[in-house]
Amino acid sequence: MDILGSFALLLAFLAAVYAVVAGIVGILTRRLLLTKSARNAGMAVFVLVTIAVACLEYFFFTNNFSMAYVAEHSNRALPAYYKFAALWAGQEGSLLLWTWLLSGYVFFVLFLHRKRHPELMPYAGVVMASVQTFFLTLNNFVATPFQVIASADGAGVMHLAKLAEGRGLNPLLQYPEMVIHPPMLYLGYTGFTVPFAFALGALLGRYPGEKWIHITRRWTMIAWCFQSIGILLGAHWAYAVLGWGGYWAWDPVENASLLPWITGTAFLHSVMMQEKRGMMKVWNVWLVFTTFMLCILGTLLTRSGVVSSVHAFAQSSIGTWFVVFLAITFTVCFAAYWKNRDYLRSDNQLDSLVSRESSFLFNNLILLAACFAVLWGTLFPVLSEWVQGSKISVGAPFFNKVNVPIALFLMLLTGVGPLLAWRKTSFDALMRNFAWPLGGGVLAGVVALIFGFRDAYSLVCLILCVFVTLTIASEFFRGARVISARDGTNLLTSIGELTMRNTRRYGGYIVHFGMVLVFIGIAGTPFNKDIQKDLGIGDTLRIGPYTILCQNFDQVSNNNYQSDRASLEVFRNGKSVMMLFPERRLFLASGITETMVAVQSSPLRDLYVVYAGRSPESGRPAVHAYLLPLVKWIWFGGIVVVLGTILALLPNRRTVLVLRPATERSWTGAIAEVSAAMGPVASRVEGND
Amino acid sequence: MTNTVRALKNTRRSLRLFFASSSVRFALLAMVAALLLAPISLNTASAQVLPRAKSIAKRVMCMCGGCQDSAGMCSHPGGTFSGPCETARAMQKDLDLRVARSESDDAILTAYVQQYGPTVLVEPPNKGFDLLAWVMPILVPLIALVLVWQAVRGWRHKAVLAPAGGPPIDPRLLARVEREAGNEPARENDE
Repeated sequence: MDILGSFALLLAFLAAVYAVVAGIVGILTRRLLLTKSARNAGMAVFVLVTIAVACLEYFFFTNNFSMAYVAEHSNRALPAYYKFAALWAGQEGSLLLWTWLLSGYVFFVLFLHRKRHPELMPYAGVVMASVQTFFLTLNNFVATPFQVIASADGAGVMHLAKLAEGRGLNPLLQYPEMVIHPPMLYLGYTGFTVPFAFALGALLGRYPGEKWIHITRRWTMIAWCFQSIGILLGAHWAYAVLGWGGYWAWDPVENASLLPWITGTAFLHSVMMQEKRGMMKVWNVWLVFTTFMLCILGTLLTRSGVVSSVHAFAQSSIGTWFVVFLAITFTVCFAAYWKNRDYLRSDNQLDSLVSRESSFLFNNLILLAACFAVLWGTLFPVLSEWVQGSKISVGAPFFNKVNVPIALFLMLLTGVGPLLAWRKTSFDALMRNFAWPLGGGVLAGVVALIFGFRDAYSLVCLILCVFVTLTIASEFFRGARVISARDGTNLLTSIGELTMRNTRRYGGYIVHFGMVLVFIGIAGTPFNKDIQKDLGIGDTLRIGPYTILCQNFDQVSNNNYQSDRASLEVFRNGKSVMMLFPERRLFLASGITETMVAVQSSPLRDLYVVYAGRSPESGRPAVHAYLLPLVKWIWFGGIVVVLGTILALLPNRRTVLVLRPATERSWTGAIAEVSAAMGPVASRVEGND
Repeated sequence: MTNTVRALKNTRRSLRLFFASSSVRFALLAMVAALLLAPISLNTASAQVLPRAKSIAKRVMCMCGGCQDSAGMCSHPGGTFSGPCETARAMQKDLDLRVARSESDDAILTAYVQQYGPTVLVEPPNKGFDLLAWVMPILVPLIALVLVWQAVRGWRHKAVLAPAGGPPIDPRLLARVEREAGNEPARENDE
C-alpha cells in the first residue's frame, strides 16, 4: 500500500506537469485535442491524489507503524475520528491534504466548465495545474508522507522496521474541532486558487469583459465561506482547548488565516463595481492575485518557523520552496499585468461622492488598511531583527490598538454602504434612510451608558451594531412592504420572497448581520473577569454572580488518557445552578498533560473554568475561573455569516412575467400607480446589490 | 423633670471620669488612627500594589521562551501546572516588589528592557526604528486615502465630461412624457 500511495502521488505529479505543458502547447498551437488532454490530466490528478490520501488513511486505521508519519502522529488507542484527523497533524500530511483539496477544486471546476468558455478554460487550467505541480513537488520530493522506517543490520543492509506503538497524536489536536477546522481552513486557502487562476487566465488570454468574474464569483464565495468557517473553528478551538479564556491572540497563524480572508472580503465587494459599472478592473485583478499570494505567504510564515506560533504544528525548512513559489507567482502576475494592462482599462466614472461606488471604495480602502496593519504587525519582529539586530515583540495590545478603530470604521461603512444608491444619493434620501437607524444607535448608546457601559470602544461598537442592524432591517422592510402591497401577502412571506428574488443582495445583508453579532461578542471583551484560587474540597471561589464550590476530585481513565477531574458545583443567589467538570488529561502515548476546560455558556456570559493542577506554591489544587461576557454571540454570529453566504450562493428565484394586452394609458397614471406601490423606495435609485 | 436633669448630670460626670483615664484616651486614639489608616493600608495591599503590578505584567512578555504570552496572561496549557509558568510567576513577584517600592511604570519597564532587551515589551517601543511599527499602519492608509481621493476626483471629472450614454430618445416620446408629467414641453436646445 505504501508503494501504491507513493506511486499515485508520483503519477499525480506527472499528470500535473503534463497538464501544464500540454495546456501551454495546446494554447500556443491552438490544438483543441491537446487542451482537452491537458484538462483530462488535470482532472486525473484528483483521482490519483485521492488514492494517495486513502492509502495514508488506511495506514492510520490499520496502525501501520512502519510508516514514519503514522508512527509519529498516531497510536493504537487513538479514537477512530482522531485517526482520520491525524492525516493533517504534521507537515507531510497537511501538505497532502492541501494538494488533495486543491485537486478537488480543480476537478470540479474543469468538469463543470468542460463545455463552456473554450477560450478561457485552457488558460485557467494551466494556472491551476501549475499550482498543483508546486504542491505535488513538495509532496513527492520534499515532504513525502509515505516514508517508511528502516534500520540497518550488522552488514549495513537496510531493513523495514515496524514500531510496536506510535507516539500518538498531539494532545492539543485531540479535540472535535480539529477534525473539521483544518479541512475547512484549507478549503478556504485552496479555494482562492480558482479565482486566481481565472483572473490570471483571463489576463493572459485577454478574455473579454467581466466573464471571468461571473464565472468565479460563486467559487470565491465558496472559498470565503470555508475560510470564515475555518477561522471561527480555529478561534473556538483556541478558546476551548488552550484554557486562557480567549479566542483570538493575534498569533501569526491566526493572522495568516485572516489576511486572505480580508482581501477576499474586499474582492467580494469591489467586484460589484466591475459588474455594475465596469470600474476597478486593475484593482480587482490585483486583489485576487494578492489574496492568493497571501494564502501562500501565510503558509510560508507558519511552516518555515519565521514567526513562532501556538497553532503551528508543522514547522520545517520548507520555507525556501514557498519563497521561490511566491517570487515566481508575483513575477508571472506582474508580467501578465504589465503586458496586458491595456486590456484592463476601466471606464471609471463617478457621478457623486455620496454613492454606493464611493462606499465600496472606502470599504476596500479600510479592508486593505486592516490587512496591511495585520501583515505589518506580524512581520515587524522579523524586519526589526533584520534592521536592528535585536528582536522585538508585537503582541496582542498592538494589534488591538491598531485594528479596533479600523474595524469600527468598517462597521460604520457596513451600515452606510447599503443605504446609498448607485451613482448618486440625494441629501433628502440620505436623511430619510439614516434618521431611524442613527437615532436607534444613539438611543442604544444612551441606554448602555445609563446601565454603566463605560468602555469607549465597546460603547461605540454597540452604537454602530444597533445602527447597522436597523439599516439592514429597514432594507428588508422597505423591499418587503412593496411586495406585500402588491401581492397582498404578509410581511414575513414578503421578506422570504424578497430574499429569494435577490439572494446575493439579501444573503449579503444576512452576512453583515452575522458580523454585527460577532462584533457584539467582541465588544464584551473589556468586561472579562478572572480569578485563580487554590481550592480544597469544600472551599469556595466567587466570581461575578457565581459561587463555585469544590465538591470533589476524582479520576476518569480510558485507553487513550488518564484524567484528573474536579467536580465543581456552581451557585447563583444561593441556589445550585449547575455542575462543572474541568479536567486534566494525561495522554498515555505521548505522556503529555492537557487541560479540558468546562464552559457554561449563555447569551449574556460564559462561565469558563480551568482545573490548572496543583499550585507550585501551595501544592493544593488550583482552579482558574473566568467570566467572559457575550462570547456566545461570536459563535452564533459566525453561524449567521455562514448561512448568509450559503443563501447568497443560491440562484435567484425568477419572477414570472404575465403579459396582458397593451392598453393606451397615460404616463402620469402609470407613474402614480408605481409610486403608490413602492412608497418611499421609489424616490431612491437602487442597485441590485 | 428634676430627676431627668440629675440623671444627665450623673452621666456627664461618669463620661468625664471615663475619658480622663489615660489608658482609655490611648485606646480611643489608637482606634481612630486605625480607622483612618485602615483604608490606606488596605488600599496599598490590594487596590494599588497588586492591580498595578498585574497591569504592568500585561505589558511585559513572559521570558520563558516557550510561550508568546505576556507575564500577566501567561497560561501554559497542560504540563504540570496550567497557568503562569515559573518564569511568569517570578516576573509577577518581582513586579509586585517593585510596585511596593513605589517604582514608576516607566522605571520598571526601563529596568526590564535593560535586563531582557526590547523583546520584553509586548508592544514595540515608540522610538527609533520601532516607531515605524506604529506609524506605518496610519501612514499607509492615509497615503492610500490620498491616492483614492485623487482617483475619485479624476473619475468625477470624467463623469461630467462624458457624453450621455444609452440609445437616443425619440423627441416625440420625450415631449409626451414632459407634457403628461405636467412640465413644459422639452425645447430642441434642451435635449
